[in-house]
Amino acid sequence: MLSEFNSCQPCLDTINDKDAFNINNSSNIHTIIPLEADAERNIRTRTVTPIVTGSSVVAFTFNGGVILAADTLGSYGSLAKYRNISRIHQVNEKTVLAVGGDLSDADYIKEAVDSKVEQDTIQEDGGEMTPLALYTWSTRLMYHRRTKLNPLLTSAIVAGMENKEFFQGKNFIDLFTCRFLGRVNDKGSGYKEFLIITGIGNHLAQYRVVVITNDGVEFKAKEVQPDWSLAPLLHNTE
Amino acid sequence: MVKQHGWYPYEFQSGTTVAVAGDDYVVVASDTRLTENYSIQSRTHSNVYKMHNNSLLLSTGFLGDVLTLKKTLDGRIKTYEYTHNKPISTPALAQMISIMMYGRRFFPYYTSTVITGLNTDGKGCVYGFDPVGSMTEQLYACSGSAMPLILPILDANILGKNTSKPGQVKRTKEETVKMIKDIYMAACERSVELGDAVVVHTLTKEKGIETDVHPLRKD
Repeated sequence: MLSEFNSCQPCLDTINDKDAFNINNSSNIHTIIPLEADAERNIRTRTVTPIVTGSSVVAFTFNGGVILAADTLGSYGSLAKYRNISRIHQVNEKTVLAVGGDLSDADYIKEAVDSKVEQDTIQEDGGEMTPLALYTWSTRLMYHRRTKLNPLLTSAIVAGMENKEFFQGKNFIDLFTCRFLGRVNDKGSGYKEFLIITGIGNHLAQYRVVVITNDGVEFKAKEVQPDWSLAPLLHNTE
Repeated sequence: MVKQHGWYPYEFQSGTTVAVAGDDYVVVASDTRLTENYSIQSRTHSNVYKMHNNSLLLSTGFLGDVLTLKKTLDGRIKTYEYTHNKPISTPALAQMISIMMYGRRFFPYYTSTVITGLNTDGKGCVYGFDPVGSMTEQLYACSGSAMPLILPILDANILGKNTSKPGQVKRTKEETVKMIKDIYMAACERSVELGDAVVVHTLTKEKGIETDVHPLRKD
């Protein structure tokens, strides 16, 4: 049987630090580990503060589809440590996943998603994961981890083009079908919107971006003039 | 040695919902603003969820728990239908919600939920719950961030409570919808978390669910 990356199980380290007699770990499969020891171990090994972080992701829908932007910096606190990290990840022909926040948890999510895509591919029946499916699954994953009090400290932004048949008068305000953009935060709260900005950009950039996209204006790259006057004030962007 | 919470498993999204039961109808309304602290995340996020048995679930509070509760309920409603060969009635669904929410008594679903629908006699019914599933059948319900602003107005307008003219005021479906829109327009002037639009759904036996969207202030 193919061993699959099971993303809902915690990856516990192999050192049993409650074991005062240093018994070899392989004997654990024959013993019953009491619940208290497991919970205590989780308290010692779960992360509640992010270590290496990615900053903002900006995403919005336009006439032809969805556009995402994210800088390539991985910050280690206030040190600009990793300068060329791609935080936007293509899942399949229809879906893109962008992550912001703790980057090790982001890698975990990417691995889990790639494993799902692999399972889809080996079925060879043409079935592909749609953006809505990925968004719903990510919501469940984040919520599950927060319920175990061992959160994935990232925001996942799912974007892509949905199948036409799905949007039959569902969303009462968004009249343009097919474009999908949604966000899930570290506690499992997910929402869909035409404009999503995570991180510090949410407080700084939002008004400027909404002016361009509020009416679903056609996107023309030549006419957009980026304003870099805020760049020296922002610490986490490259 | 007291440790502060670094990460807290709950958060609070805004959203205000109102439900009013009538003799043969139910009117429910929700604003469409979703906030995170003082930023607006979405202007088109409604807190009303349509359930498969033709009842409407109103849920505000922590969005993660709202979505999970809705999903779990969807599954259980379908199971009921397959087992009993008929859709679950709204009073039975209310009982189910109560038991489900108490099941998480020691890590609650942080939501104020209301389930509304038509009971087996065709009369409108509204059931309100607290975060651990305490259920009450009510004539009207209001929950969410602007609840303290709206609930007293509903008390005064629907039951004439604490006014110089006590006594229930019977309204038609259209009059109830108008009253609710007026109430939301008044409340959104005084609340930062209320605004953008109010979605009003009317549930009747003949016409099913009719939806009306009324825009509100965007600031």
